[in-house]
Amino acid sequence: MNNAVLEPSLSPAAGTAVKRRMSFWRFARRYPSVVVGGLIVLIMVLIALFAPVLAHYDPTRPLSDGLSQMGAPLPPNHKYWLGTDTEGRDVFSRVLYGARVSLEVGFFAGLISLFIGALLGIISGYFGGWVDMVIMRLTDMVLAFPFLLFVVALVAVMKPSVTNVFIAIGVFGWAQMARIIRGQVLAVKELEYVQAARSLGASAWNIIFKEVLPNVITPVVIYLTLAIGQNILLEASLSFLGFGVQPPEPSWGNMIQEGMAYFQLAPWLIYAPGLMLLITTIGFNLLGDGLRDWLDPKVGR
Amino acid sequence: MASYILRRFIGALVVLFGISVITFIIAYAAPGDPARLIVGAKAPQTVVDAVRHNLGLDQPLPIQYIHYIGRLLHGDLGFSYHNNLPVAELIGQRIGNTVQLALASWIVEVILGLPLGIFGALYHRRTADYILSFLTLVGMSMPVFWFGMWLIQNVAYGLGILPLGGVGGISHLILPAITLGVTNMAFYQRLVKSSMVDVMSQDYIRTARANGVPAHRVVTRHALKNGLIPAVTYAGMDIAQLCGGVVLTETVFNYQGVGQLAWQSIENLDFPVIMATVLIAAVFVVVMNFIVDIVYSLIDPRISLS
Repeated sequence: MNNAVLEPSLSPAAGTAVKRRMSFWRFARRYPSVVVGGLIVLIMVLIALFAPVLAHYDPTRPLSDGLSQMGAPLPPNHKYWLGTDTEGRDVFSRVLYGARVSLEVGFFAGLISLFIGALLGIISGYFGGWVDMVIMRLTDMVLAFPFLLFVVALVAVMKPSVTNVFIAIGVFGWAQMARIIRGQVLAVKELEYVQAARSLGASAWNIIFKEVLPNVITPVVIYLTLAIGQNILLEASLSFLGFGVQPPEPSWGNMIQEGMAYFQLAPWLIYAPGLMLLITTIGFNLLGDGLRDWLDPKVGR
Repeated sequence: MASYILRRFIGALVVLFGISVITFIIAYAAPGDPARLIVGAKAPQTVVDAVRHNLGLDQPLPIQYIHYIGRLLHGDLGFSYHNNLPVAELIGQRIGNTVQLALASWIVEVILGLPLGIFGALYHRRTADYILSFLTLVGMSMPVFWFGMWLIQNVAYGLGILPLGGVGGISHLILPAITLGVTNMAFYQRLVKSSMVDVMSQDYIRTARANGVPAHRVVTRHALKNGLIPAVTYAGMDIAQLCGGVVLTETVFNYQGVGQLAWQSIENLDFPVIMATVLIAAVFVVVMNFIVDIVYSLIDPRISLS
């Protein structure tokens, strides 16, 4: 996906390597957010995918020489690049595996919200009338709930695990998506060629799939990118509160929680996962913002 | 106008009704038998059944719901067996703290976000705007609990000037208010800026400029009026959200507010308290939504009332 994002201005004429390079740099100058954000996201995806290869140690097992003689965690050194934690585990390996959890939750929760939001948004926007009213009131209700509190409560009832975390986030995160898609459908529905298709007797689902869906993809991609970033923050918050990923499985949120009491003694326990979290979220936010500037012609000119 | 308000009001009632149904169903489906919790694990089954009958828990679900609503309308939010106190009393002890923190952080958000948003719009696509945009990007992406911990470590502990946490006086409010205010400000600054940029690019502003109206006058007299409408709306929604309690910040700062209570209740699976906190937070939002809608229609003549 990232390659496609990075090479948008490739026209059929741009055949040579030099030209390709030129167009990329021109694109990068014009939409630096897309390139920088895309790069951060790409790196994080690679880290998540190759965590088992990149990690030097088992993220969940205490190492025999992982603690000092006094029993304190070791500061960063040439062997343990980001030091060790209070149980003598390698923080570098744990941070890498944490990327897996974060991206997994961010992505799957985003997909669940997308699916529910798209379904309800399209039905609501296309059919209108009382269907629209019911769905929009439902959306209002979901948006009125205190999101974090509700997700925490839901996970607590379902028993905390990675799967339950992304289900809970996804199931309650669709409302904004539904609103955006509904708005797009309302706009597209009135376009002339859609009206034409309808007057030619095309069925509702035919129109939705062939005419409406292609037109809502751009805002959906933009919103999904931003939502993944928010979901990653939310997962970290849940794990920090103890209702997300359960120890010993590492997640950036539960690593920060575990290190909280040792901030003074071992600041790397807080900074390593915290900075990864910050950089990842910045990456998704930048990419989302950049995609909006680039793909959405209504903004920015 | 009256019919518009009435329609909005009915809409808000419908949403409140739906929210109460959802919280009721979840409380009902939650693990644990309230009757068993009251009498204790050792009581014989006949006692449990008697208590269940007394509480009306053996009646059909819709009847139970009607009783639940009846109690809610009388201000009875249920009983917390974990704390051995009525839920209303528990929340009453803490709501003041939460509202204080909400107001303090909201002031930080608006005082920083509003001028910075206008500033960003005036310097749109110039260096100052890019620097500001980067800073708000970091603010938006920052995990709020991490930022709070960082402040505790480096300001409260490192400089030794402010309390590490807890409640009591203005000094206890400063760090949590900065934590929440700064992260919320990041979103707010962006909203104000984009709304101002939209307005500044409109024809009437260009006309005013072309007619030789000085730049600062264009902003203060012409652009602000329309540009700030979304800013007012958003700020209104934010204070409602904050008043409902903030779980993360209150937890990090050990601040005895409704958010911390909610979190502790979830840890103890104390459902009457969880449902009450969720419900109160939702009511804040719905009521504020209603007020904002009405105010919006009053200040913005472009909103059609049909």
